[in-house]
Amino acid sequence: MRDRGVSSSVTTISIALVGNPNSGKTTVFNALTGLRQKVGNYPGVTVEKKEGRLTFDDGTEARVFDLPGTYSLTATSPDEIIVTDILLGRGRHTPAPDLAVCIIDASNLERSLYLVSQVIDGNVPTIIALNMIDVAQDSGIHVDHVALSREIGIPVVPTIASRGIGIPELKRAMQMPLAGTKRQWRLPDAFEKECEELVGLLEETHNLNQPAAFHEALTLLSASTASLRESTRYKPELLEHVKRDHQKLDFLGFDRGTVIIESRYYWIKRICRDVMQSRSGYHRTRSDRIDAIVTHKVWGILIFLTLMALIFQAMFAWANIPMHWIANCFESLASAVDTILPPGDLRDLIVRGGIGGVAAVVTFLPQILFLFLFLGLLEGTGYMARGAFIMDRLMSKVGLHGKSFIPLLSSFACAIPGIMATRTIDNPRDRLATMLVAPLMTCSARIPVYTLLIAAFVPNLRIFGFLSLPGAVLFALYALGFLAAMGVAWVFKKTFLKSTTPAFIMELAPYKFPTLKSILLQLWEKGTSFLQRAGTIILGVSIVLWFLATYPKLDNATPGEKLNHSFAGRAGHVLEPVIRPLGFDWRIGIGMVGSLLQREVFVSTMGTIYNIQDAQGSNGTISLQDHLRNDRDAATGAPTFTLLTALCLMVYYALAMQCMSTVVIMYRETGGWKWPAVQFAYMSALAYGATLAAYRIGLAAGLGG
Amino acid sequence: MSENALIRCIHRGFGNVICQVTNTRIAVNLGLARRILVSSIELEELSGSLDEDSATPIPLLPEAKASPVE
Repeated sequence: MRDRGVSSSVTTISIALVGNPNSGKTTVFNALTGLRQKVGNYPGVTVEKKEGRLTFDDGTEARVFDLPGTYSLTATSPDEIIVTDILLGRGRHTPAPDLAVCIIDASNLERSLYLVSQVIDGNVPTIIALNMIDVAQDSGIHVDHVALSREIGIPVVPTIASRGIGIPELKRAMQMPLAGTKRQWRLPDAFEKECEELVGLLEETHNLNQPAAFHEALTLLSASTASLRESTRYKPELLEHVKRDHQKLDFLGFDRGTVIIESRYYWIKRICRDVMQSRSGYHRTRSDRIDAIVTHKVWGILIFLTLMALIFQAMFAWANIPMHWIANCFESLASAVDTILPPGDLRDLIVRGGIGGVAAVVTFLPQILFLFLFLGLLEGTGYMARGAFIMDRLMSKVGLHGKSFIPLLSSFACAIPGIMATRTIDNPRDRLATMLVAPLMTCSARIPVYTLLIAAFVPNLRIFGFLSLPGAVLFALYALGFLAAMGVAWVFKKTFLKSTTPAFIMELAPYKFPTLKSILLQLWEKGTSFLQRAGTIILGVSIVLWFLATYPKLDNATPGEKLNHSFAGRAGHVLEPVIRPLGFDWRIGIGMVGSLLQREVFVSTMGTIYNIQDAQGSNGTISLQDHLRNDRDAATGAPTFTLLTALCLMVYYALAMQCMSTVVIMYRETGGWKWPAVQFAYMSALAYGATLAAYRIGLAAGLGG
Repeated sequence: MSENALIRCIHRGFGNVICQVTNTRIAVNLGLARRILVSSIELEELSGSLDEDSATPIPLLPEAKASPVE
């Protein structure tokens, strides 16, 4: 049993926050550490361990780990395995914690105590934070926390973490000297005896500590005898011993698969009976009434589609006003620099390269914020899990699990959190299929590209009286990404990722209003992250591109000829034969290559190129949209961009893997370069093929002019 | 209909069923719910009595008896 001396200011202790999904672990973590990790009202928000520092009132510090939510330590999905490994001291980079704080949803005491019983088995000093006591009271549930503490023998602190209630008391409890708690639940005697023997054998032959040996012993005794034959983790003599145990226990009439679970629940039920009062029977809650409409077979789909249409309408129509403000600010800045600095390369670099490139992207900040506002509302209210409920049937038709919908919906923001969110999927093939198609979902980086091209080329007409044509086109592009993801997933699941998809099962958290603070915090973080990217990567690329598009210089030539002669122009011409069949010229080629890094670089590239081209020709106030509309091929006089070119470019960006960060995260999540390479190759081929088809169809339909 | 039912089907749609398990709402694939939550007799009751998208609570299992293990 481990004792811990928290009073020492020399040793920094480590504290693990453990609990069921959606029990408020991250809210407690944020309250303890002052950090702003993302919270949401659906299971699986936290998929990897997060670390923060907690400073106690006496100045001592602790490392706090926010672990992914799990219902038990025998779970098999990658996010849940992290929890088991850390608690049992098997973590590669994280030692076993000095203290575990079990965050319990007070309205789900019985279910939560199952995990608590397993944490206690690990012999880690443990505290319970009895969270969401307000929600429990609203549901007619009262938990006597004093009695609960007495029954289990560990401190229990009632909390409402979202309002900071109970957090000071929790911090004080963390500083009290604690020891590991003795296991209180018991197996039937004969089972207990075999288990003890096996624990001793595992400690001796496999060099395991007691908690890990006990965990392994329970797993081995409840496993099917057939599955032991496939096990390579254990020595043959140990497996022979386990087989003999199986025979004995089977002979005694034990259902080995359930006896451990039943024994834990027997102990849990006794505790709940003594410490909890609740209204008996079924009471229709507000969430039940909302679910009856939101997951209705007709209303459910209508509400889902209306919400999606509302998001795209808001992103397009409502964001226009702040976009103009931002554009005007950058124009004023460019004019000011133009006035202050003398003509020359430095002025061109700042105005045409730096300001021009960054402004082209930052203008789209309002759209990004509108997207995250709506996604935050969907996540915070609890609608996300209902979306998975509604979409499960469609998902299962292409061979994916309903749970895949959440990573895919998260990919609307960015494919990186979407790919990481696949850790909640147990089946490795389903997880891989979801990861492979996640970048097809329309991420926020595509928004600047789409919005620029739609605003420049799609007429602002009204359809159905309330929806604008640009909004509908944006919606169609999101639909294209989603349908492509479904189609590709179907192909993968029918071929090299063939597997039986486990049936859908998912907790539906009660609906709640997200706090204004949490929504604003999320918007602030996403907004600053977007601006940081604009101020670093995009600014850097814009400056490099300005150089490549300016040098080598050509005297006494038109701006178009100078660009043609530049390094960038030459590179664009090398690429042109490949992209000409798609209806793209060499300038678009420069944008496509630049945006391999990230998609929105296409917009900054166009901004820089047209600014340079325009350097001698205008007063610098023509918008990028106007540049695209007015640009003509110097040789033929034909427009560089038409409605068809814009549509084809959008099809290309909908399907192409233009994001190196996604490639890197795929490498990290799959542990090699094989799958990132497969993903890059299939998306490039799909994008090229679909754009070629769109161009040919468009020409045949007379859209080419 | 038992007031003490542990698992109740409270809503059905899109091939899934929303069950109340103690105080938790869990969405479960209907096929899985039929396999693991109900006996064959109760399955017939479920199939016969549960209207599509009904919000009426229908118990699937009587209160489970805790196993005497000590």
